[in-house]
Amino acid sequence: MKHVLFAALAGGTALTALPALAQQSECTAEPVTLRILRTPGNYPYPAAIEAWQQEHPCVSFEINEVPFAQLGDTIAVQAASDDPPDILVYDGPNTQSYAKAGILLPVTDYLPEGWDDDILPATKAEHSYEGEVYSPGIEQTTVAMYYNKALTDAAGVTPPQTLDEAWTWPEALEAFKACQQGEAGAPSVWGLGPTRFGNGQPGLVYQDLIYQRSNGDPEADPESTAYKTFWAMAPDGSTVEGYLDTPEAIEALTFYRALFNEEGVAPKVGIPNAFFDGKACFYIDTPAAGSALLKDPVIEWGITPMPYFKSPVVHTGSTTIGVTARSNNPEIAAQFAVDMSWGELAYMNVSQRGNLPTLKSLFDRFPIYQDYPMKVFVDQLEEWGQPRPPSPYFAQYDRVVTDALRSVAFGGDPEEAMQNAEREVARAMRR
Amino acid sequence: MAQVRLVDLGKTYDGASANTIKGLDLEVADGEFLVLVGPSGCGKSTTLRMIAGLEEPTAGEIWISDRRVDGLEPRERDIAMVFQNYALYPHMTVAQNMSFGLRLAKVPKAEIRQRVETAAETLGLRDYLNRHPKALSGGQRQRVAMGRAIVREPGVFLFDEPLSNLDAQLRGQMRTEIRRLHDRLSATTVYVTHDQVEAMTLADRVVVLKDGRIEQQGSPQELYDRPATRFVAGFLGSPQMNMLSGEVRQGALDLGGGSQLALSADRAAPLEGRKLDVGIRPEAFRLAAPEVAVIHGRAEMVELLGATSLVHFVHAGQACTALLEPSEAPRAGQPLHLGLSPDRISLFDADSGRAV
Amino acid sequence: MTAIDRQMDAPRAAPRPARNARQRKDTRTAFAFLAPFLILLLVFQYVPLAMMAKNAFMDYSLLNPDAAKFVGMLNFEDMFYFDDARESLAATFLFALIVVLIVIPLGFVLALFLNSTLPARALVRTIIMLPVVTSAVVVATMWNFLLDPSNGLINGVIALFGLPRQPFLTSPNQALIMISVMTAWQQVGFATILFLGGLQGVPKELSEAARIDGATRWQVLWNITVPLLSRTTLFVVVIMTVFSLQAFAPAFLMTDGGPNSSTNLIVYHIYKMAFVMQNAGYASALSLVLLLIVLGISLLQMWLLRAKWNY
Repeated sequence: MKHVLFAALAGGTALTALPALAQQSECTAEPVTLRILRTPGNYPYPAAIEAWQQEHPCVSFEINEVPFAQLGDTIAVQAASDDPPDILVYDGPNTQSYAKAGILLPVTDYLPEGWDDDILPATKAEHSYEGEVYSPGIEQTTVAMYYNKALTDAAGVTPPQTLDEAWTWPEALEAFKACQQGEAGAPSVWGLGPTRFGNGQPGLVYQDLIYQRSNGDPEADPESTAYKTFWAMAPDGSTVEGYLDTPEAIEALTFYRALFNEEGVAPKVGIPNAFFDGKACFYIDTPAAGSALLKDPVIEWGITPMPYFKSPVVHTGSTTIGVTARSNNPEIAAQFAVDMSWGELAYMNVSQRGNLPTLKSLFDRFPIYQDYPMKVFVDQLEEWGQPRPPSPYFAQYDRVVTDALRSVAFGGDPEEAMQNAEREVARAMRR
Repeated sequence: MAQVRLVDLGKTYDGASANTIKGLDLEVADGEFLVLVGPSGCGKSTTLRMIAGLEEPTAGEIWISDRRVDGLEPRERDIAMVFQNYALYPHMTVAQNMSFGLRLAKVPKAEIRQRVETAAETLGLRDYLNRHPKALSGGQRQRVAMGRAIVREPGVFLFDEPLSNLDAQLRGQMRTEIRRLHDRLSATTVYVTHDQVEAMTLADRVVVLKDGRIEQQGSPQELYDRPATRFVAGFLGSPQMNMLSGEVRQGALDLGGGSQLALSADRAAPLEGRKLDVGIRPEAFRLAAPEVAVIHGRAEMVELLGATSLVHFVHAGQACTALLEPSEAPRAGQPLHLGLSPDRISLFDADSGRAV
Repeated sequence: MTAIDRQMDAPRAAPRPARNARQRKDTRTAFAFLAPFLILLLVFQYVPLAMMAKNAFMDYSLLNPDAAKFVGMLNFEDMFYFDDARESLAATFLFALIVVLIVIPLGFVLALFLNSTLPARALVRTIIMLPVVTSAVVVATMWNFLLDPSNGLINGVIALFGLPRQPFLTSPNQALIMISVMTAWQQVGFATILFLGGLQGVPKELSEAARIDGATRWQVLWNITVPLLSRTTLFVVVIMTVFSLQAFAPAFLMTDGGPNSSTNLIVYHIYKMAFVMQNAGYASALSLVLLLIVLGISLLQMWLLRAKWNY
């Protein structure tokens, strides 16, 4: 939860110096120290770093960690300084924003041969700006809907296991209601549990913008509201006007609002570990939850694809690795970032946490994703995956739209919320 | 008007012995000016505050006129009080300060106005009615405090060391004013002070308190001339009464240092052989020829006060003071021969301190 | 006669004698001792303040400070053109008002209680001071649990009486009131201590004199104690107002300024504008406006507090 993260920040950011351990080759040139800014416990992981140092004996690392909630603030303050960290592990959707501000170094020239064909298109789109690639990407996540099998069985609900059988939202709502136990609005077991991201409240773009997007149509006439609803921002990132406040979006948001209010199947505030404690039938999360449950199956569980209205869609994205433009050692830093994201080293980094790789060639290396339940994630990524609307103003968009979605979840008027959001984002884009 | 009666009044504090009162019986007659005097911690202020209702007695009764008032709120006791530090309401003007009690009592406006103006006239505060206390001198503030008491026309006036925050000159002046005011209003007054001059000059009757008990009471002159105890003798009078050790031997009082004072037989007889403390007022000494003098010594230091002179000398190891005419006073270092009349001395039992 | 009166009666001062070498040396020594603090003050307080004032007239983002450009009054015009500044200031003033309206009477009553001889004072003192010294994060977390719209303790009590559960922090109509109540709860101990100091500074004789003058305890309170504490009260009002205008933690930790910007306190809004919306120039302009508001309140306080009387 946010408070916990904040408390961790208050305790001081961790500063870890990794010496060049177990070096076989001797350093004969000038020694270099690369400084990495990342969230706690994130990649690059020690095994991959040490393997890379075999090849680059003169490079050592200094790692500075800040909680995810403070990462954006920290980058905003540090990256523009005269002596920024060399490597940033940052939230992928901010790529264009950082690229436009001149914080990130383009790594296009460092990418290995075959990268273009191997990378997931959603990842490449998210990490590119004006023809240059700014981050090779290491891992990829998306969300699917987990369910507590004991609870769904008891309710006589059988969630679909493949994409072509996926529920629509109204079908999902029936399942939530059937499975929920207790008084609507304050049940003992929730139909749809709260997110573990942020402060546990609804509204996050990553998870909740897909309601309205799935009520649009990517193939429709670009002038139509169905088209605009799906993309939720002009595909060239130039405007949001007419993209959020559409009839389709309002319709989806009215349904979304009902989940938390009239229907009372989803809580408005966070409940730590609700799903794992058996206090929620359904729960939306990344593969991380599945990996944890595979290791320690505290409940009987399954995964069903994300429900949708008309056009199924899930958001992709993850933290990713980039190089600062003001780095004192841009070449070696870029080499490091690219190497961490390719081949064996990429595998070492991805396999640590159980998320998905960004390289199609690595999918085979993760047998767990070959079969149900985790296969749902791979299928979703390949068939439904979309980046969050790429734009140099994503950070502002993310905040404004999250606030708007949250106010709808809390019972606010969708029309007013989306109108406001369009105006606020337009204001941010004016700069 | 009213009288005040204290019956077996007691006050104890948890874990403290100062200011306790032990079985005090006292009656203040209608129109009497009674002064409670004593050293600090003797319980005089506590007694006054119990009469006022600011503190509750732990034993005994308090009567004002024919009402038993202990247990009643101060406002129900028909009293007014003047505090040592004036206790004026800083956010009110002089007029508002004086009229506060009347306004609370819902006295008609015209009457308030008239009473305040009369009091202001009496106290010379006419020109200050619209000022705040901050803009007044100490003496003026004390007059306002008195005015605040007067306008309410209470049965009993209580004064708690009202003059001790004033400088000496003003104190003398205010003393006169208070006495004059009392003579005019003839209000029953209980006045607390540690200053024996105030006690002497103001009181109809002085009550000396010590350790929560009445040591002696009576008119100022009675107490001055015939102190019942060594304590009273030492407390009243300035400069203090001289205190010498003595013993009656064969009908004469031996004051040590070879000094003998003849006593009448009927006075000496019962005291034969007893250890005594002999109190001698400084003004009881007079210069005498060496042959008839009782005390022989040497003037150690002489203070010239204009009308009188204070001559300090040592007798039998005791520092003594004599009050003499400046014209006849010796100079420092000169021999000193003093005579003494037996009827001007006070005799106290050396152990009990009581007059014998 | 007070010391001041005497001073005023004193003859006019003679021309000041020339300063000698010793005095000049003393002055130098004094400056040497003061310098470190003056320099720190200058570097960490006034220089940033000047930079903020400059940035208020720039279009400027933290991500790309080199691209800053002068935009004149644009940031200030934006405050009128868009609703956010007006709404945020309105929310902030309402927040301050509710906090003050709760804290002043409650703090005063608690101070009266602590100044009395009633039992359990030590316990009450501990209870009301505890929130003051507890970290804002802990307090916010606790209140988040208390105010949970579904399973919170307060809703549990409400449901016990058969009344409908309240949305509290998730309602645009209730969230601001709730964070105001929380902040008041947290700050009331501080106000109590200030009032207690004021009460103990009122000479006991004044209330005694009033009681003898015929006042009931209630009349003493109303006619003597309350007027005499007017300076303390004004001071507490200003402290609480300025504190509330600068409140950040409740919005940051509990509501993210929502729902629907209803708890978008101005300092949190400034933070959000600078760090999230990457509009540091506008944030600087808002800071400048807030600075002027707080300065104005402080000046008003000094003007109101100029001594009319004392005790």
